Amino acid sequence: MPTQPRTSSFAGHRLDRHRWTLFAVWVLALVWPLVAPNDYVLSLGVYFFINLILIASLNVIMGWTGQVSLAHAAFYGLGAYVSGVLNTRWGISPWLGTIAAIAAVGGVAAFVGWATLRLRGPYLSMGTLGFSGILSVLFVELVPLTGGPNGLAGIEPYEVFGYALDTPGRFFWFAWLVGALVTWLLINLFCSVPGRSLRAIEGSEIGANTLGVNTFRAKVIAFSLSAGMAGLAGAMYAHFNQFASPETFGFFASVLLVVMVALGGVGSLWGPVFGALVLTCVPELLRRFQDSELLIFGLCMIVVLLYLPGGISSLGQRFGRARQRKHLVKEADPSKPLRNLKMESPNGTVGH
Amino acid sequence: MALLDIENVRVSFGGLHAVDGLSLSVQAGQIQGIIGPNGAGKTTLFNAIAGIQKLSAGTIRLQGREIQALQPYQRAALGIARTFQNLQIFPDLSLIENVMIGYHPRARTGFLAALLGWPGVRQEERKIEEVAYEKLRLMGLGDRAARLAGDLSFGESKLLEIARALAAEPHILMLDEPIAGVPASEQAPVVSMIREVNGTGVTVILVEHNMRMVMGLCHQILVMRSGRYLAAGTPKEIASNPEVISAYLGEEAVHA
Repeated sequence: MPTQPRTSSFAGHRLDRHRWTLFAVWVLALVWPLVAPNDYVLSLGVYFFINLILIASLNVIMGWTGQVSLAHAAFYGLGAYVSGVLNTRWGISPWLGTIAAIAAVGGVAAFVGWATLRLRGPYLSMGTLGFSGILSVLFVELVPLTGGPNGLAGIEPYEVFGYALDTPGRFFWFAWLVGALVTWLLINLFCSVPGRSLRAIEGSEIGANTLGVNTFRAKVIAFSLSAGMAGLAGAMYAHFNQFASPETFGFFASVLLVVMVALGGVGSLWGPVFGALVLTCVPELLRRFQDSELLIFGLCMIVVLLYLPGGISSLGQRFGRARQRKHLVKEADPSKPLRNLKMESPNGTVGH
Repeated sequence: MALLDIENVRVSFGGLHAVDGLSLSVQAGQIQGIIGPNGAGKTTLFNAIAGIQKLSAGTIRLQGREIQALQPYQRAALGIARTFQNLQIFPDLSLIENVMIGYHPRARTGFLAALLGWPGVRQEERKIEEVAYEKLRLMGLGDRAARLAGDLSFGESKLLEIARALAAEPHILMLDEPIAGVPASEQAPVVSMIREVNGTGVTVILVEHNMRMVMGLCHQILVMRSGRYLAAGTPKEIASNPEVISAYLGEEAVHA
């Protein structure tokens, strides 16, 4: 007989394991300013954290809840413009502007979600596709506010006790901290009643609803939360870059974010870390291929998604299962059903 | 007063009446079976009770309160839990997480508390997990609690759905073909589990094709044909009802 597995808290263990992973990864990330040879490379570290928040935000609605948003780059842009415009036109502090950006983007998304999430199906994708187009036009056409196609220049950096976070070296710590904070919040949500309800909707909306989950409400809250996080990333981007221009936030960027969520691992807690790594580093590595950069990028994605549908974060799990399978073939007794053999949890990876 | 009162319920798809003017009273503490040939409207009736299927006409009362306008999640909160004939598990979640969701209507943790990881959240998680683990063990899945539900066979998934419905600690447990697809060796434990759950005061409504199980388990049976009432009564009455025998049970029942 297989021994009884631990009967005490799985959830507690999961939560602790995720928290320890967070701690380890973020401590490791502290090395970056020390090894980065120049400000440019260091700024990649900043963009990594901003991209992480952005991709993780999309993962909440797309990966956990199973509703694909095609407006996340637009929400990112809306966050950047809200805080940027408040700052450049009315001199409002970047801190207040960032809070306003989160609230504004979260509020707008709540409305879009309220209008499109009532029904099951791809209606959020359709709604956000249209909404992304509207925002793109507004970014370009509202010249007095946004600066139009020339972009919005002269956005002030964050300031801490009279210290302006205006260099990659200074901003890195801030991005590192916010990245950790956001990830910590998401870990908490992931291993909780509301988070699990969201992930249930991804698996079966009917099932979740008959089990007592108000799926409409949960989806709207998740979408609003997700968009608000994208708004936070946008505001951080605006105050780090001190410049924002419309083409950064176009439809192509939204699609790229969807691909990054898929590459990292749809719905896995740590997938966005891999997605952000790819989004930050790969374009840099491919830069010397110039025009064919996009083509190579696209091809790589197709290959990864074809052969690794669970994304990069599922790699560990895959190896784990392959090992088990070998093990099983060796020990399998044809007279016994396979499932009676003791199998290790495939959840050993950080993905679940 | 009956626990669940279904009156003149009709469910139409276009011109087709899948359930056509059906009435049924389910007494508290009973095991109520619903049988009938394929296409008789059993699952549609199930969906209507659970709230997935809107009624074209009629009323459904739970303890005297009309519930036909309520959403499925609201009915779940009133103590109706169900399983699905064609499975609605959450494949990317572990078994224990699947079952924990069954308990969610009773859970208190809100979004904000969950995000911030307030102290009460962890205690509640632990409690939900204990309940879920107990239900998993009851269905013989305790040793696989951490595995993904998507890896289970069809029969095991059915057991998982029952465990999940039990975690809701419902007043009414609705089982849509609970042993169809379950390996023969595991059917007996499911049957005795249903009896055991019923023994704790839970009313069970059951759709099943396995006649031996229905006849042995149910207190009351409703026979449907083409969305309509054909007969109702105790298993004995049903088994000797000539209309039922000719319409549905056929030769097999005559010899049984």
